[in-house]
Amino acid sequence: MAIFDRGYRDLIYQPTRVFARIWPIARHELAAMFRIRFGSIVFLACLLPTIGQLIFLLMRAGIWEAAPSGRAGGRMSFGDRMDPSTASFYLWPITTMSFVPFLVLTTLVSVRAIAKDRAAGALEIYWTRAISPWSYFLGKWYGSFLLLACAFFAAPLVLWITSVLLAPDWSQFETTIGFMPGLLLGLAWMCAMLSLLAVGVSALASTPNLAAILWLFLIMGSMFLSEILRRLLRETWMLAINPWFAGKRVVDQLAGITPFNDYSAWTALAWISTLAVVVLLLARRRLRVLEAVAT
Amino acid sequence: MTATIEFKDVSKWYGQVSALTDVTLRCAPGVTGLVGRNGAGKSTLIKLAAGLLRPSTGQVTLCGKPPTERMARAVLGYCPDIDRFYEEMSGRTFVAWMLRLDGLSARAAKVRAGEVLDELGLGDAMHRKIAGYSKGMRQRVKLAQALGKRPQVLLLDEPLTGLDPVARHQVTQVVKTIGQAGVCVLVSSHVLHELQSFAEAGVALIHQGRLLAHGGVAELRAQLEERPHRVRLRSARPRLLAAQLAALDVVASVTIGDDDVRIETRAVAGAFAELTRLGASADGLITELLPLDDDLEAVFGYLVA
Repeated sequence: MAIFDRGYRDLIYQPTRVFARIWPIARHELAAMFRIRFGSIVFLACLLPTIGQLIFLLMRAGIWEAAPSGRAGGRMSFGDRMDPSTASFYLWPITTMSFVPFLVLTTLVSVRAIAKDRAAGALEIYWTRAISPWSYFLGKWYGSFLLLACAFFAAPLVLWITSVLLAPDWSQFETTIGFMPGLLLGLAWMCAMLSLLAVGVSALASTPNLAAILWLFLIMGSMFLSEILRRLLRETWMLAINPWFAGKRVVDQLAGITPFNDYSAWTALAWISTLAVVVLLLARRRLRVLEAVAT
Repeated sequence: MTATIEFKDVSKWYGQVSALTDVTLRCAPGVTGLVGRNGAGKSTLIKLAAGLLRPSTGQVTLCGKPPTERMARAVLGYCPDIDRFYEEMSGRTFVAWMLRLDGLSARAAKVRAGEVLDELGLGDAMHRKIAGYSKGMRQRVKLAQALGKRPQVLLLDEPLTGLDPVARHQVTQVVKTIGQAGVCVLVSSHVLHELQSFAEAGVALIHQGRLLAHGGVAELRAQLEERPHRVRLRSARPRLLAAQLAALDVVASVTIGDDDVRIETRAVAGAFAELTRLGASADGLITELLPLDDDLEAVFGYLVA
């Protein structure tokens, strides 16, 4: 009984900052994808569009032409996608090519985050520790956000830094610095909102599988619905019903790109914010301490 | 601050079903055992104390504070009856992680997790994944996450389930030591004889959502006046002993066996004084004395019969 005999009362409770308590949860969530080899492979597969773009950039570096077009705006064309001086070059692998990777990452990690704890009965343990349900939610969301940000924020950032470093002079930096902050801000916002929605859906479900079904229904269902309504009503803003499309529209706006299906970014922003509020209100009810115990 | 758990007129209903009815109980520092059949309301009582359930009526306090308050949570250690965890984590990582949620630094949590797992006999296995743990090892990991923060109030829901005899002894010794250190421990268990050995602050008997009794086992047994105490006396001369016992006022009935005599008495103190006198009077008259129904199991049996 060595430990308990040696002054049981040594460990005095000291209030700590919320971040210190939520960080272990966030880190656990972030690492969830990489604990098994399969997860790491899937994550790398999710980065393929950006990796492809990076390879293209490296190949192009050998025959670099320091005559950037300098166009930040305008519609996204094939030429732009291959031109590192345009916003489209950095956004194309994400907003156009990464819908499936986004679905995979969120379905495997984000929407399982809270539902798996609920199914395992682990919420009972959390609720008896010095952490509130909202701090717990915040930790789960933060971890999920970091995971999405690694794929959809850090990857284009690396692409941009590489393009700047490969350029023979500062012209690439000078050309792209005008739209890159907005582009990166947009991507960070998109990752934050979509991970918030996913973790919110996770809080609603009682099992991880149910959460995944709800999430796929929300994303895929809204995608089909938005497409049908757009064709029926001939209103492009109907696309905003789908959170991915709505997020993409806001990012395009912040990056200064005019999308093919143009509509107000405010509509997209308003819709995704409304959706987030609704999900959070429902999650609030499900995250009450009383809900932790099966009765 | 004295470590206590108090239930004042607590009732809990799940819809139309009453899980607990008017329970008033005060658990002082030390180990209090919670005994009851399946569905008696033991887990509900523990979850009320943990702040996981809100009482339908009445009041629950930990160290004078409602259990949902942050400061009450800070002094609470809780070991639930579930054993599904983060299978991919090692035992030490899991315990350290739980301690970090209580505000310990990463380093302190790691050290403390190692210490407490070692104490509970998982020193060699603490780096293995929980997925490979046996039921008993999982129980000890659960216990470690509750003990790691050195709580002042400890709630243990069936902590002995699934443990082998050695592990059971280890765990009961740890819980006993913690109780002696002044921690208020409320522990539910089906292993009544072992619960009796470490529930030094008394036991609470629950049946069909009602608190039947609370106190020390001997104290409770003494109160069951309508139930005579049964004592088995091993003897080399059982017939002689039976004759002498039958003459005593304190002995209600005598039954003779091949090498023993069984008696029933309503006056325990008087009977034991007489038995001591008889045992000393002749060699081999009483070679062994064994109370048959002075244990928790018997008390529980009588109360719920």
